[in-house]
Amino acid sequence: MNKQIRLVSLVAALMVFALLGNLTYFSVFETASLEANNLNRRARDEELDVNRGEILAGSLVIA
Amino acid sequence: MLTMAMGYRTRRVGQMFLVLLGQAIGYAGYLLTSLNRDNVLPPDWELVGVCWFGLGIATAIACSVAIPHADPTLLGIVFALTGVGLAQIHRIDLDSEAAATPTQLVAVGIGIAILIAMVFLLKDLRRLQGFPFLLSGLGVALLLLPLIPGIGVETYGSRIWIALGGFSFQPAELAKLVLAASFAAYLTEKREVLTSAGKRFLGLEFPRMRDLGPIAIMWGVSLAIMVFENDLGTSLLFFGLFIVMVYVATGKASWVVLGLTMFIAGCVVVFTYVAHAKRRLDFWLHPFDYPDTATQIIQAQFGLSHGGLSGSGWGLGRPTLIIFARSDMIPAALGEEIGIAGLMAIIMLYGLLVFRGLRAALTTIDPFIKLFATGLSFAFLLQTFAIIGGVTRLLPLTGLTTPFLSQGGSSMIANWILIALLLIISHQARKPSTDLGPTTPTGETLLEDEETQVLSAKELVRIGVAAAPALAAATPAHAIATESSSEGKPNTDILDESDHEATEAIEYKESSAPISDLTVVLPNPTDTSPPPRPAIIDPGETQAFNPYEEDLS
Repeated sequence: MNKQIRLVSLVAALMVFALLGNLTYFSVFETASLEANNLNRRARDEELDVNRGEILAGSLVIA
Repeated sequence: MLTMAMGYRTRRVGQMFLVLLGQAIGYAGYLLTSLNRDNVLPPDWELVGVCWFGLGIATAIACSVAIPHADPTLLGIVFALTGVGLAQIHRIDLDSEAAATPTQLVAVGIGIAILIAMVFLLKDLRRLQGFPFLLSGLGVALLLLPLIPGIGVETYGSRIWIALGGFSFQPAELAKLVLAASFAAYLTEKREVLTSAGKRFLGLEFPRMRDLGPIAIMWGVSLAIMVFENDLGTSLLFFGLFIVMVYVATGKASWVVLGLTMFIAGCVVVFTYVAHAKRRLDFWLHPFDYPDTATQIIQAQFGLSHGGLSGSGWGLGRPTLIIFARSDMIPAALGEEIGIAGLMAIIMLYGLLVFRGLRAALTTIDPFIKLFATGLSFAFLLQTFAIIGGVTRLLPLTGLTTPFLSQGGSSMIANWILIALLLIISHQARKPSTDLGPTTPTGETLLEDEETQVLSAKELVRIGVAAAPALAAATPAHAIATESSSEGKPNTDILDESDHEATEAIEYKESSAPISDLTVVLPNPTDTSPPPRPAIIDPGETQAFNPYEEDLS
């Protein structure tokens, strides 16, 4: 049975590499478009958190 | 001068080191969550640390005592995964009202208690081999239990839970272990029949119609699970497990071709006609066409991409945006906070665990245990592959748990039992055939050791050869024969002609007896063991063991 078990190990390795490869592909090719997606609350909320400075009326700080 | 019988060294210190290292990863996650969020250590970090590391040290010591030769890497990997899972569940608790960590800790405690009990009490798993049909019945019953009205509970469209007296349980998790044992027992018994010739078609030898029964039954059962329980993942898991075990037992690729064809045919039908399954497929292929319903997979994608390669840091992501972030989707929650790199490290841990399990299967001699270990390891991998693949959109998402990480008591306990089984198997495979030092030339001390008898006398009798001349003079041949046949079935696997590769076990067994001392005696007339049969183990071995070399008959 050892021959078959070795082949199963090979298949197991391929499955692990498929998971790793998929994540690599994801991080290289898909993150940019996902970050730009309107539904992405994480990215949108982060933009809203950016401090935009004070609102002035003349030289008076009103907000 | 005889050499010391070779086995694997005990690795008590290494195991302890790996357990502590693995635990430190989870504990660091726990501390970092609090440090990142509030800039202080968690309120009772000392107490948690003492209890957590105490648990690990106690487990490692128990295993060192009960099964000293067991694979030292297994426990460390499992503690790393469990710790990371606990830290993540605790972290999600902080952002939500419900507290799931205490229940999960209880499950871990029960799992570890069962593991310790098992390594002390269950030294010989071969006894399981005696009940193939009882085990199959139990396994299928566990699988179909949720369909019984009154006990079965339907949650979120899948009917995979049973509720009994306030406790809910997912029987499929336990069924995984029971069915691996039952397949192994059945296949070890029926190997010869299933390997026998069938019709050749397209260059492959297909099994006879009447041998197709078991595969047809398994196909039916897994389709029933897929359709009536709405549980694609479990169905895939069991059918895949069955096909791989049939292949390993028979060595025939045609079973794999047949099984995959049947599975794909089943899937096509189910995906076309069952609405629930069809929706899963759509969510996988075009999640953004369903922004209101495919939120789980969409949020997982956003979380992973926003975390990026190195993650947002423990406690700094927003995993609560993902539904079921503690259970089904925990790989995504982790990926967001410890990054895609961290998730990859977790995948590698799973890979290592599975390869150590398969390594134990390779080293084992007993065919039943070999198959059992292969089945357990492969089922574990298949489950991990299906769920992590589903979360990362490599496959359609299926509602499986991520072993050791996900919230869920049934899964946690079942997986600790799985690890206990692999530890016991690896201990049996790796312990030396004899612990004796140099033996006297008469070989007497050799016989006194139980293990030596099992390994040498049994197979020598099987091929019509008895041990050393002095030994043969001192002990009548039939005494050895009866003794070894009372041990149970003779080990046919070593002599399997399809196995030209020598296992390590054979290598060290060879060194436990001086080859030059071997001779051939007449098989006893009352000996009921099968007639001599050529043993092709490997070229070197055949020369040393050739039973026809000095044929005295």
